[in-house]
Amino acid sequence: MKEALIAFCTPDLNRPTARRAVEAVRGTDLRRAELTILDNVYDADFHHPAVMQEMLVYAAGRPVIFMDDDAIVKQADWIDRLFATATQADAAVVGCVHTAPGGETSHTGILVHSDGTTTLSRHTARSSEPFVFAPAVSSAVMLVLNDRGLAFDRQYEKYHHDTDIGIAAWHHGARVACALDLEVIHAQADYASRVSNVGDLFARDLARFQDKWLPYIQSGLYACRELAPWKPLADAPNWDVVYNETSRLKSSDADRARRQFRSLIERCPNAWHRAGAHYHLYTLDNDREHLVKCLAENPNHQKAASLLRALDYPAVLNA
Amino acid sequence: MHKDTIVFMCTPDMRRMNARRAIGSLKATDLGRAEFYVIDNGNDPQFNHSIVMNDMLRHAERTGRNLVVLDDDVEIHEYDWLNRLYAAADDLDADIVGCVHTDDGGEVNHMGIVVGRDGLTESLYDFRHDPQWLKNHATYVPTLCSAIMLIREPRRYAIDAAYQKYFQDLDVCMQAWSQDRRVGIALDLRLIHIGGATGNRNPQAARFQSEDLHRFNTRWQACLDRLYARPELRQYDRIGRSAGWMHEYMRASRLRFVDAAAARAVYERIVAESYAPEYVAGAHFHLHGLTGDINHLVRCNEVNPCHQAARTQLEAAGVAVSRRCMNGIDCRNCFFGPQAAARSASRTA
Repeated sequence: MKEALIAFCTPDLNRPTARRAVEAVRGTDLRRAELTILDNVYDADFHHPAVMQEMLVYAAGRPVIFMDDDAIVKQADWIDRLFATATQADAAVVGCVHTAPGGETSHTGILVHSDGTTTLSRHTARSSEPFVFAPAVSSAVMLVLNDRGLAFDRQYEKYHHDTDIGIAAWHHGARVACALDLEVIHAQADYASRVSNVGDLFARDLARFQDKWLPYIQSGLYACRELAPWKPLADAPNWDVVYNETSRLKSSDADRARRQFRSLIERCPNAWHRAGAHYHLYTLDNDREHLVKCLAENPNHQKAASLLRALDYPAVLNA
Repeated sequence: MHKDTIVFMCTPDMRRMNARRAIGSLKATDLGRAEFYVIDNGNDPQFNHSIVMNDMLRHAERTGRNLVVLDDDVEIHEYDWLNRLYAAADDLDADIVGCVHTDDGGEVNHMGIVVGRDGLTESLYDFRHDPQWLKNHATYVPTLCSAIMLIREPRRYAIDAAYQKYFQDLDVCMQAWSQDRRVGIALDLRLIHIGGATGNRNPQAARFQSEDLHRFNTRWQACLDRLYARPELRQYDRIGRSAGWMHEYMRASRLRFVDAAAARAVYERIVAESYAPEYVAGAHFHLHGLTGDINHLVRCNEVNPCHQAARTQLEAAGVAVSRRCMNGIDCRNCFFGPQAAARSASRTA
C-alpha cells in the first residue's frame, strides 16, 4: 500500500482534457501515491464536495492529492514537492502555482476578502522560501494531510469547498501553503464553462461560505502570523467583484458605471482589470484613446486590438 | 439515471495494452447506472489486491452502491452487460453474479468454479447444468472468479486481506452461501478474460496460489457438506473426479502443497498405471521431492532423459547419469528410444 492516494475526478475518462491529464500524471514519479481515477460517467447527481469527502474517508488516514481533470502536471517530482512543502511549511493543506496553457501564472492561492468574497491571487512570498502561506488553495491540485481532522463540507453545491477546507485548517490551528517550486497547467473552468447555471451556483455557495466563516475572517484569520502579509489585500476591495458589478451596471446606469470604471483605473493594482475597464469605457464613449490604453495595460486583449485595427484601417487606406 | 453501482478496476499500469483494451471496451458500454473507478498502483510491490478490494467494498457500502469488480485483462463487448448482470441477479435472487469467461478467440475458459472435497478447485467450462436450476439463461454456481463480479449488498461481505493474491473471490462467494445468500452466473453473457496478465509475470504467483489455497481450505473445507447439501448446488458435488492422466498429474502438483500424503498417492498411481512417459517421469521427479528417494530421480531420467532438472540434480548428487539429452525440451528421440530398445531386447530374447 502506497503512502498517499491521488483522487482524480472526471466526468469522462475519454475526454481529451482528461486523457492529457492522466497521461501527464502517469508520466511522473508515482512511487509514493496510488492513482485513483473516478469517472462519474456524467452523473447528473454528481456532487464534488461529497465525493472528495468520501475519498478522504476511503483513504483511511493516508494523505490524499486531489486533482481536477483539466490540470496537467509537468514536473516528475511533483508529489515530492507537495510533501516537501507540507513538511517545510508544516502545512495540512498544500497547493501549487497554477498557470494558463501559455505559461503565465493564473494563481497561487485563494484570497478571502474581509467581506467574505474570494478571488484568485498571484501573491508570492518576499522571502526566499519555496512556498507561501495562503488563506486557501484551489482543489484542482491539492494535497490534504488526512490525519488532521479536516473534512470537506458537503453543504456546498460545487464551489468554495476548497476555500472552506483552507479556512477550516487555519481555524483548527493548521496551515495552508502553496508550493512555489511546483507549477501545473490548469485549463481552468473547462467543465464549468459548459454549465449554464455556474453563476447561480457560485453565488449560492458564496453565501453559504460567508454565513459560515465571515466572523472568523473578520476577526481571527488574518491575525495568524503567517497570513499577516495578506491582510492589506484582504482589506482592499475585491476587484473581481467591483469589475463584474460595474460591467453589469453599464446597461442600467451608464454614468455610474463610467465613474466606477474610472475609479477602478485609478485604484486597482491589477493591470488586467484596468485594461478591461478601459475597454468598457470605450464601449460607453467610443473614445479611441481607451482602446490604446487598454492595449497598453494588456497587450493580449484581442478584442481591443481588432477594434483598433478596424478603426485605423481607413486611415491606412487613405495614406 | 440514478447511479447505483461502482465499477472498479485495478491495474499495475493503465498504459499496458491489456489495461487499455479493458478500459476502452468498458467505456464503450452502457455505464448509465455506474461510476467507473480505476486504481493504477504503479507496479507497487507492496500492492495487495484483497485490501484494495475490501476498501472499495466498504466505500460502496458507505455510498449505498453495489460493486462490480473487474480485472484489467478483461474485454467486454456486450453493450448492456451491466443490466444483464443485474437481471441475472434478480432472476436468481443472488447477491453475487458473474458471467462466462472466454479466451481471446471467444472459446470458453470457465463459467464458475467448484470447490472440491480434496482441497482443490476446478473451473467449469462444459458443464451440463441441471435444467431445473436454469432461470432465464442464468444459474447457480458455488464460486466465481473476480475478473468480473457483481456484489450486491456490500455490507454483508468482506474481502479477507490475509489472501495475498488469490482465492479472495472464492472466499466472498462462500461467505454468501454461508449466509444463505446465493451466487450465480449469467450463461448468456460472455467476456474475454485473458487471465494471468499480471500473475504470470510474478515469480511468487505459484507460492501465493498455494498459500492462499491453504488459507481458503482452512476456512471453508468444513462447510462443504452444507454447501453441496443445497439443492441448487447438488449437481456440482461430483465434480473433481479424475478425467485423465494429465488432469491427475495437475491435481497432484497442486495437491502437494495442501496434502502431501494424498499427492504422493496420486503420483504413485501415475507411476504404477500410466503409459504416458512425460507424466511418469514428472511423477518420479515430484516423488523425489516428497520422499527424498534419489531412485525416483534415476527413474525419471531413464523414462525421460530430456528432464533437465532431474539430470542436473543427479549430477549434483554425484550419481552417474545413464542417459543424457541436452535438447532442453521433451524430444521424440528420448521418448521413442527406450521403447525401441525394449522391443529390440524382447525380440532378441
